[in-house]
Amino acid sequence: MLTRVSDNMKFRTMVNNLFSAQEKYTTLAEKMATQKNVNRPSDDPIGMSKILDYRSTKASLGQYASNVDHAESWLTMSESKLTSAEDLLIRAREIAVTQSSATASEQSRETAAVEVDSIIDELRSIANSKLGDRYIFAGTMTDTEPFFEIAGIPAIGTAEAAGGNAFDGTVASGGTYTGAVNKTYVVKIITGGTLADATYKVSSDGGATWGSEQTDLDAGTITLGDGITMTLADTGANRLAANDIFHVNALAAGYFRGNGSEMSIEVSKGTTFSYGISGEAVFTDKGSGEVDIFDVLNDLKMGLENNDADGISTQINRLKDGRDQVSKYTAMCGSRIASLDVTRTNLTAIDEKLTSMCSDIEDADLVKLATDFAMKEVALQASYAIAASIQETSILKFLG
Amino acid sequence: MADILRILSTSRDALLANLTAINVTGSNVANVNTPGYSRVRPIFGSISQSGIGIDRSSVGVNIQEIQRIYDKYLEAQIVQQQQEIGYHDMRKSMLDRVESSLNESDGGGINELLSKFWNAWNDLAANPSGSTERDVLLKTSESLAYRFRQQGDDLLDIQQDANTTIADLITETNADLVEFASLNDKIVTIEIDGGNANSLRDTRAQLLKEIGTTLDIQYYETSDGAVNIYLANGNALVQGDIYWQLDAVENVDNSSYYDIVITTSPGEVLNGVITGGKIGALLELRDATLVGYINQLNDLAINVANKVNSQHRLGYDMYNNAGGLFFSEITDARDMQVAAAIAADSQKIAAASTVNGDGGNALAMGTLKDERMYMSLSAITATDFDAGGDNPAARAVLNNRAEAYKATTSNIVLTRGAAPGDWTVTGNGGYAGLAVLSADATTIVLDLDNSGTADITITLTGTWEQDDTLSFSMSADETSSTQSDYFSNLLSRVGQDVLSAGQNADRQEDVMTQLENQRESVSGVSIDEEMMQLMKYQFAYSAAGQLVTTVKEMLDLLIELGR
Repeated sequence: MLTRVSDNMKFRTMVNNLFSAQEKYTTLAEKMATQKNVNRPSDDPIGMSKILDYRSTKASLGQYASNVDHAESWLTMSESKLTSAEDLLIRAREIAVTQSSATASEQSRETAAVEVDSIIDELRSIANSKLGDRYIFAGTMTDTEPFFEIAGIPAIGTAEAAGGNAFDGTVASGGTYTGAVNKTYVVKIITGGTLADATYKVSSDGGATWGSEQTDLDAGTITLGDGITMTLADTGANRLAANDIFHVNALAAGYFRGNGSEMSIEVSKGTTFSYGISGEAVFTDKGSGEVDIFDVLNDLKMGLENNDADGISTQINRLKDGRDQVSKYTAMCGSRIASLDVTRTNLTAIDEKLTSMCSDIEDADLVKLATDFAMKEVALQASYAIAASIQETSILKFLG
Repeated sequence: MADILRILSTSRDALLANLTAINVTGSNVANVNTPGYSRVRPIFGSISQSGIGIDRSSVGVNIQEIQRIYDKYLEAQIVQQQQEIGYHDMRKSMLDRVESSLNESDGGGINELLSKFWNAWNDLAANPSGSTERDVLLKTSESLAYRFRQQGDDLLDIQQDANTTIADLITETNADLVEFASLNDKIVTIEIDGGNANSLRDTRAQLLKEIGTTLDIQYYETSDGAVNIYLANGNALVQGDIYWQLDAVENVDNSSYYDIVITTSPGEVLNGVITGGKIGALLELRDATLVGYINQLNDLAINVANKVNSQHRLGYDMYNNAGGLFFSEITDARDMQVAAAIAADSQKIAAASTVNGDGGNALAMGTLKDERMYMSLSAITATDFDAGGDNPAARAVLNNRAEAYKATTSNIVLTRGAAPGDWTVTGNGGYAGLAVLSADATTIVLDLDNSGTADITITLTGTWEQDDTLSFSMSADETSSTQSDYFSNLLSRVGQDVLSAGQNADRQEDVMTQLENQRESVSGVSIDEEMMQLMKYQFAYSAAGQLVTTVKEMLDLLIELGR
């Protein structure tokens, strides 16, 4: 049986063909313009989700790279400062060697004492170096200048209430610090109320970890440990509230007033990297340090000023130990920088790999695209040509 | 016996019949572009002039019927197909909106902002007291919260639009049903008298298609020519000239949603009955697909807010206070906000893990991005110290899996005191803020992160005595994804839905084109054909005219002879 072809059919088929040719043409034109294969999730749902994963990973990698840069600039600065410190210590030891000999005179020792004094100043300025606004050898207390000019005795700082506390009474610190290293004691109120009702916890590491909950606040005095107490006086207006925080810094004897913690940063997924070198370890005999360098230098200066040959010669070995201590950390800076370089190389490699994987899914193959585009263009033109000739194929054309 | 006058009347019949045929051809030509028009064809029939059986020499002609060329089976398929088309087109166009609102191929969406957000914490970790870093983090957090709100609003808007469109479509359908019943009435009235209701039937068929596009119907034609329409569950919408009206009434539980009912039985909700056509698609989108997207977006927003808040509480701000809420606590992505205190003062961002202003907490915050969204608890090990065979046992559940708990570094251990309900923490598993919120003989409620909310509920069974201990640990739920995976999963789910909706719509469109072509092939008008018919009828008409002329000449001859 013959298929009847109605006029509607003729026109509709023509229009459908035009639409379909145009749609293909437009889709390709979009891809040509964006040069991307995936312009919306439905273009390739799985691909889109991969692209997003790659992008988040790339964003993290970018951040890791900038973290690595930050850590490296910190370490490079530390390394160069510590190298200078080593030079100063070498010079100080030379002085000690020279001036401890019998040939040295009182006068030469006086002159040397002046030089040692300037070495001490210079070394302190090195130990107090800043990167931007932050002291690089202060541990994590980077806003605090870490080294005193003269050695302090064990001291307790003023007890401070945190800025947002509800409690408006007074807080004071008391006692004598017996601890070996600098610490920050923190008291956190767990249950608020009057002193009799309140409960609290104490932390001796600046608030990172806490002891168990205590209730003996009736008299307002808290025993923090290592001989220190903190006393709260309730003035009656605003009582203690949960999460009110008080802290006091306790300083061990010596020149250092930072802490022994190291700054760290994330350099790859799940890997944190310590980049801060605390002055405590480098310049003092506290924490992991063994030689108090400023003490040694001051002893040397004293020996020179007092024309005390024995006092001077005692410092020779201490100065060597001091130099070794500094040089250990100079080397540590170097090895950390080297390990950062490896990390950076890895990050770059992964980033390049990801970029190419992402591009495989996302970016259009231009050669193929251009060819397809040209083909669709021809097809579209052909559809137009056929559409234009539709009137020609009618019996009306032939009826007088 | 031949009768000359009879030839005249035969000619008259022929002239009339062919004139009518030309008229019919005219109608076809005129309606060539009328949608749903079925071409008509004159059926010629011969008629004997009188009862004289032996005389076959004179047979006249008349138009016995003007036949509508129509394939009932095809029309039924087309109505069926309209329901498919209505469903898939509507679904596609709504999902397109979802896709373009979520589209992140050019960046700038939630995925990118999440990356920026975590990166900003890293920058802050590198310089914890830097006010630039703090402000950048604050701005990034606000953009993230804004994007979540925006995205939530967009999805809700689309859901609401689906809802109002349902009401609009019901109004349209009601009007169609009224018209349909009245057409039924007219067709039955005309045809019962043997009249010709062809054009009314075309209009009715067209209307049937429109109703079919809107919702899934069943229908059949009765012997008197009326078409009855029913819903899928057999509820009548039109029976003869009687019609029922649909109504969109507010849902009892959610006044912003419409339920579909028939006005005569307002208690019977028909939402589940309508699964096809545009309304079927809108109901499915509103009540299932979009709800799924919205829930997934909410889950993500809640998880981000909770994780960040939990970690934030563990740190210290620049005033040395413990961190408060970073994001406001939410149950819906549309409410996501940076907490007012933080927004007003970026110094209140708790970047430090001690009161010494380090960046430890910001660092920990930055690592949240790689964590699984949820945590799970291990089974509880109970230790019975007097070994009295009293068999203590317990089970623990996390009250809110979305909170940003961390895997425990060692077991959480609780020891019972003298009285039931007297429990103390003897191992905190690395949770410095772990505390017993409340406890009695059968339940212990733990607060993990010092937030004051109940995080873990332990249900005790068996007999517990003094010094008995229970211990358990917490680990990342490896079956849950990371936040960025969760979001890309949502996006790929939307993409997949749009893709398959598009493919379905295209396929249904192809089937429809095929059916329409078949229908056109049967019922459509071909100008070529009509022109040929016209020539044929015109020939016949001229011939009949010629016959009259001949008879006239013959009569003239007879009259001449008679003079």
